[in-house]
Amino acid sequence: MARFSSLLLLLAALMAAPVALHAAPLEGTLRQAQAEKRLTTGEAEGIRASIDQARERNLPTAPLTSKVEEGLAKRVRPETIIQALDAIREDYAFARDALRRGGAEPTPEDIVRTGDSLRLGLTRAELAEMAELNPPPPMLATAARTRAALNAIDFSAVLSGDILRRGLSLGSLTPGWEQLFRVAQRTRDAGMPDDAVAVAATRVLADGGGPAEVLQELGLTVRDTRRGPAEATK
Amino acid sequence: MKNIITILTLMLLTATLQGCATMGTAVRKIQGEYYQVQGEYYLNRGDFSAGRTAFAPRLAQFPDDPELNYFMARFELGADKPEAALPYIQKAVKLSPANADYRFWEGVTFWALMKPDRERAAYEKALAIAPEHSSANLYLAHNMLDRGKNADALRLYDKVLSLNPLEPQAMFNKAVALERLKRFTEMKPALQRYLENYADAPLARQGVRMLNKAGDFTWRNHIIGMRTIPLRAVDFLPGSATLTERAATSLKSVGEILAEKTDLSVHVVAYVKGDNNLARERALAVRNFVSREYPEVTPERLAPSWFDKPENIKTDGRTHNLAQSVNIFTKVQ
Repeated sequence: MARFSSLLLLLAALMAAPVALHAAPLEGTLRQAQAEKRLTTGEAEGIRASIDQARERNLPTAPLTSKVEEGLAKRVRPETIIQALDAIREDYAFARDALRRGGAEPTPEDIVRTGDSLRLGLTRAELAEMAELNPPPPMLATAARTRAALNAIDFSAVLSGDILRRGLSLGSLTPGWEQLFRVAQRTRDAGMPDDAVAVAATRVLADGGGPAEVLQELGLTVRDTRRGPAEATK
Repeated sequence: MKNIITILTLMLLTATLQGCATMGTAVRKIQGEYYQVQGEYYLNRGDFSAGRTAFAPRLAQFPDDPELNYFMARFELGADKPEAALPYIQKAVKLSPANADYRFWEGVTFWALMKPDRERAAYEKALAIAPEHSSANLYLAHNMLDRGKNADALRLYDKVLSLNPLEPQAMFNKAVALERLKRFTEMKPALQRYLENYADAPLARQGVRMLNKAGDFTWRNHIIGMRTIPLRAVDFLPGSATLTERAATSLKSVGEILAEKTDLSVHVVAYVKGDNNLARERALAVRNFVSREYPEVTPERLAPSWFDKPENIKTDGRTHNLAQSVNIFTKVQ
């Protein structure tokens, strides 16, 4: 149970975290780590090479730089950092190919949101399946995040596939749907099955609504955590 | 003489210290007002990250300032981090236990953390301080509704509506509570009132479904394009094809959508039990009204059809027969 709670906290933090597209210069970090004997010259070169490969393929590099910062700060072994960079780079490359399927060029943010979803719990097969519907890149990125978060809480892959296909085909999958996993958590807490969430979500997507309406459809009320009810209009 | 100088020195020192204390208090008061304005600015903009960045150093300087703790909690909560918000809001409550707003936001934080018992306790404490706190009454009502205490929820929604008769969540959820209590004759006007005021709100579609399920078709959901649009039923003066004013308002909504979405066409289906001619006139009246009000919407985009039979509508396994009605929905190309 404690492990599950930790997972939810991590998931919530990841879903809430803004996408890092700007990071501190890499060289200063590497030089400092070398000066402190945390990194050999060869290891620093390996990190540079991995990020250069991403740059050469026109993939976003800022999240990779952030990863290096984070890894070095946490004293992660350099070869582990390089392995992580290679994995992220390949995820971004796969994500970009999927996002391009509809013919539009994705933004770096779309690539990062989608690529990071692959590490959060989305499978490549699921991403490819959703990309076949040729949605606009930002909507596919939203679908990727939504499905990854649902996977992370063990929501049925069949049900989440149904929901997201519906949202993508109707074009009604707005960014707010990334919070659908919270609806599932809340309804589970109230003893409702995931099937009920799927039915309600499908109906609300057809209506053009969002996850708050899913919760209300299922008989649970919503609180606005950003504004007091007196400030909200509807 | 020496004693006089000592007394004067002591008096001067006391006055200086008092002056400093007064000055210090004034500075803190001005600072507090400045923080409040700035905190509200970040909250209104929804820029929680910037708010946190601006307030963190101040909080480090004045860790026991309740308002700084409150704003930090709001920024964390706004950024979907209720775990991070909790210690701040609890500290604000501890430092300023008579502040009902802090108690209220503590309740919201507990909701986000899925702790309904602690959520309820926080709202109850807010209401013990300020019984007319509209937000605390509303969210306590929500808490009650979520746990199936429908009569308690209803009482609280009524209280909110006595404070603010047009509070949308209270209006809608009052109807939900009435539905659960099977008080349908009260539920219907409550929902109609909500829909009259908030027809474009996301919950309006659910409101219409609730009404229709209870056999009330004064409002209908219409599928126009990719969206479901709640509209007051298109009706006519008795025995005629003259549209009522309410019907005209609904049709203007349809006209606006068609004027904007130029690739859309709709079916207009009129039903009048036992009167084929009147059904035909009504279908044509709808088409002509929209085309007249919105000349850019050509009549060909509204395909009329009519039946001298009642319209059969299925809701939740029950079939309702409407002797007279008009249905409008997207024509699939």
